[in-house]
Amino acid sequence: MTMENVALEVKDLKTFFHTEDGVVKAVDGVSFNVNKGETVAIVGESGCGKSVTSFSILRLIKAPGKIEEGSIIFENKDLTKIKESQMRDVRGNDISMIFQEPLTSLNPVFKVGDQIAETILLHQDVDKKEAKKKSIELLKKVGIGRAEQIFNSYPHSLSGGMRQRVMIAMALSCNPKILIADEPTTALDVSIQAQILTLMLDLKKEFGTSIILITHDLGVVAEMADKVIVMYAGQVVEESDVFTLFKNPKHPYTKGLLESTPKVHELEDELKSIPGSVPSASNWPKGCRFYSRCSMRLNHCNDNAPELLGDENHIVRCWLQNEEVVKQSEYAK
Amino acid sequence: MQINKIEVSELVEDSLPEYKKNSVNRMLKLLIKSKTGLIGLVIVLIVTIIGIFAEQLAPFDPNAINPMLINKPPAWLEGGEFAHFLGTDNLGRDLLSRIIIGTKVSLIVGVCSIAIAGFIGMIIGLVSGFYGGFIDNFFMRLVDSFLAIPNILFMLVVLGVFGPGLLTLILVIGATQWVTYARLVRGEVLSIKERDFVKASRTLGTKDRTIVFKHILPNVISSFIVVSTLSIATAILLEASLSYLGLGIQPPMISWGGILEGGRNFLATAWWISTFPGIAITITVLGIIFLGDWLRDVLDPRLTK
Repeated sequence: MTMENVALEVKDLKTFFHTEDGVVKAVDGVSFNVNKGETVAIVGESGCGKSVTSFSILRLIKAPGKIEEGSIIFENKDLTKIKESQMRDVRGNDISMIFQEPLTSLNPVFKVGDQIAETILLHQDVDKKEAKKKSIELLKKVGIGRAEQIFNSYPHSLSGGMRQRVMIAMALSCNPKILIADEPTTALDVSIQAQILTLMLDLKKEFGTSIILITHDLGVVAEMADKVIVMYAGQVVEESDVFTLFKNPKHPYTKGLLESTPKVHELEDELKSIPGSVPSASNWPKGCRFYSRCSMRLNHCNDNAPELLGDENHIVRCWLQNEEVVKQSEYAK
Repeated sequence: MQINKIEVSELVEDSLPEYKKNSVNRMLKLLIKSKTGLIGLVIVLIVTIIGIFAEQLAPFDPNAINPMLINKPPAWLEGGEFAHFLGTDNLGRDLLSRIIIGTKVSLIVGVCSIAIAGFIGMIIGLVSGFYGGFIDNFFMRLVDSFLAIPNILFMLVVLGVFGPGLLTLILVIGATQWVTYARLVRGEVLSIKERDFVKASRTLGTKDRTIVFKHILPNVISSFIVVSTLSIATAILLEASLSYLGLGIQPPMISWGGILEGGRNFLATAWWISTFPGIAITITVLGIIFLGDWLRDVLDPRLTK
C-alpha cells in the first residue's frame, strides 16, 4: 500500500473534554488510514468515541472539548494545524458528513433545494441559476423523482428516507473526497435503510469517494465496509478487513459484539450480551480497558495496558495475542 | 448512474402538498377558525386606519377650545349633543376628535419603541446566545441589572432629566423593553444552535455569520413576532401611564394617556373624559393580544391540521 493511495491518515488522535469532573478522554490515541475509494467502518457501542473521532476529523469539537495530540493528514495538510478559514474550505468541499437524524438535520424554514444550492454557492464559483440546476441534478442522482418539485418543498413535507437522500445530495454536492456517515440509517426503517445503503455504494462507485461509516449495526458493516475498526473506550481494539473480522475475530470484545447479534438460523432462548458497561472516560483503568467485562481475562491484563499487536492486515489490542504473556499468566477470576 | 429502481417504493410518499399555495389558505383557515384572531385582526386594522387618517376622520379640531361646550356629556345622556358624540372635556374640546387624533400618537409610540427594543434585543440575544462565554455573561448581567431597575422609576428619571416628548418617550420605552427580547432570543438561539441542521451546516463549511443570519434567525423570528405584538400592547399602556403622570406626551400633542390625565380632576362631574380614552386603550390592547395569539398559530407550521 503506497502513500498515494491514502486519502486520510489519522495518527495518534487524542481528543479530551475538560469538564468540571476532570478530563474526559473520549478519544485516546486513535490511529487509522482511509484509502481512496475505500469504505471504513468504525464500530463500537455508545460512548466509545466513534462520533468524537469523526467530529475531530472535521475539527468541530466544541469547548470544553479539544484535540490534544495527534495529527490528521489530508492531502499533505495536517487538519489539526491549518487555519480555521482553510478548514472551512475543507468542510463540505473535501470532507463532508451525513447524520443519524435526517429529520432534524435540515433547516425547517428553508426549501430543501435552497439548502443544497447554498452549499454549492459556498464552495464553487457558480451563479444562483447554475447552483439550482446542479441541485436538481443532484436530487435526481440520489434517486428522487420529480426533483424540480422537491427542490421547492420544505423539509417537513418529506419522509425520513427522502430527507436522508437530500442530506446525501447536500453532502455530495461538491464531490467530496471523503464522506463521513454517522449512523446514516439508524433512524430509518429497514426497507429504506437498504435503499440508502445501495445509494451510498452506487455513489461511491461513481465519484470514487471514500466513506467513513460510523455505526453499531454489524449488518450494515458486513454489507458496506471494506475495512472495519472496532473501538472500545476511546481506543482502537481491533482493525482488519471485513472478511477477516467476521470470520476470525480476535479481540474478546469483537467476539462479544458478534455474538450479541441475533442470528436467524440459530435457535437460542436468550440473546448473548456483554456483561457490565464501559468504564468512565474520565478515569480509564490502568490496565486493559476491557478487563472488567472480559470473559478471557488474564491476571496480567489488570495492570498492563495492551498495545496493538499483529500484522498490517489484522491488528488487535489484546494480551491474548502475546504468547509469552499467555504462558506466564493465569486466567483471572 | 440512474438509480430509478428505488423510486417505485417512494411514489406514495411523493404526494406532496404545494407549500406556497397552502400557506395563504392555511392563514385564512386559521383565521376563520379562531374567532378571537379574527376579532383581533379587525380591531387592529380599524385602529390602524383611524391612526393613519386621523386628521381626515376627526369631525372637529381637537384643540379648538369652546367655552360654551364645557364638560358636555355624551350624546345619549341628558344634555348631550349628537354632534359631540362622546361629549366634550373641561375646555370644551370634542372628545371623539381628541381620541381619534390620540390614536396616531399611541400607535407611533407602540410600534416605534418596540421596533427599537426588538432590534437591540435581537442583536444582543443572537450574539449572546451564539457566542456564549464572556460575551454572553456580560450581556446577561446587563440584562439582569436592567431587570432590577423599576421600569416606571427609570423612565420617570430619564424623562425628568431629558424632558418629556415623543422621541424621548419612544427611546425610553425602547430602552426598558429590549431586555425581554434579548432574553427570549438568547434562549431560542441556545436551543437552535444545538439542533442538527446547524451542526450539519457547520460540517458543510458554512461561516458563523451565515449560520446566525440564515439558519438561526429565521427560526427565532416567529416567537419574536408573537412577543412583539404583545409588547406593543405593553408600550401603549406604558405611554398612557407616563402621560397620565404628566411626563409623557405634552400638550398640544394629544395621546390617550394625556386625555385620561386631563380628565382626572373631573371624574366626579365628567366621568366620560377619562373613561373613553381608557376604553380606546383597552380595546386596542385586547385587539393586539388576540392578533398575537393568532399569529403564533399561523407562524408555527407544526400546528397545521
